[in-house]
Amino acid sequence: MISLITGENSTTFTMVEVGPDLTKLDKEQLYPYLTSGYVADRWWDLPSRNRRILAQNIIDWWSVPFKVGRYKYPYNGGWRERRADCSIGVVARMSIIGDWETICTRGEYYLASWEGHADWYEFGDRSCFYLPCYIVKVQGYGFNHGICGLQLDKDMTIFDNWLFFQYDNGNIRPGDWQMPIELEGVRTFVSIERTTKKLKANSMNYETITEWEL
Amino acid sequence: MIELKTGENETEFVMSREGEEANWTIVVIDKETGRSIDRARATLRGEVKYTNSEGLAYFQGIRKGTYPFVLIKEGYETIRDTVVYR
Repeated sequence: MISLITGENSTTFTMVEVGPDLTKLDKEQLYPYLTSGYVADRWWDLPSRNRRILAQNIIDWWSVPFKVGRYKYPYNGGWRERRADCSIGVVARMSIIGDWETICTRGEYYLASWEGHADWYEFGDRSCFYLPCYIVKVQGYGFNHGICGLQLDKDMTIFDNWLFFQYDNGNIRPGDWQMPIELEGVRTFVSIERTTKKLKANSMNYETITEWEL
Repeated sequence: MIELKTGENETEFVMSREGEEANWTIVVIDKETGRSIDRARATLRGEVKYTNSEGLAYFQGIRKGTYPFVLIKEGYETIRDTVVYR
């Protein structure tokens, strides 16, 4: 309550900046907020509903259109070049959506190309968004697949607190080909993995944080 | 404007003696930087004022009463308060 007296009065108001509604920004407007770490710094302060809307926008805009064609890495003094598989798809996406330093080292010259384009780029050479993005293993009967998981709420053990994505699917759900519920009568397992050894010479190590049986 | 409805109506008027009015200067600054915020929208008694480049806005001739006050600036948390002049 502000009380006034007869005559002259003066009150100073200090206003707190809250920034824009991130869910309403378009792709171009949102990008600088992602690469500067602004979104990452406020990720857990956002209302859950807004965080989920924003997460879907981010994946739809920066993962779904992202197609890694081939990759190459140093080998016997030269380069070994291969067609990108799901693990490279995961690393390439994590190096943008997440924090590339958790999965690779700058200067390792681990390169990938956009499908249909000749330009090669080094993982970590692009600006990343620093969001809580993890490797996700999907293991079923005769089926091993790697996808990505973006954490949507703090409890990592709740399946619905994750947005799963890989290739052209920005919201992989149980039953999709990338996450079959069962194969040959055997249930599929989905696990969240944390990198323990960065990508080097085409290999990396990780450990399971949490796991679900579909 | 005072709206009446069918039946009995009652309205309380608070009158100020001449020379008993209040003038109010508001200063609006950014909490983090301390810089003046211009074009913040302040509303008192339905009267709207915008802060100038020095973060100042003036309300004059306020009569005795209790009024809602709202301060709005895009990108900032809105301030709502009650202004009382008795």
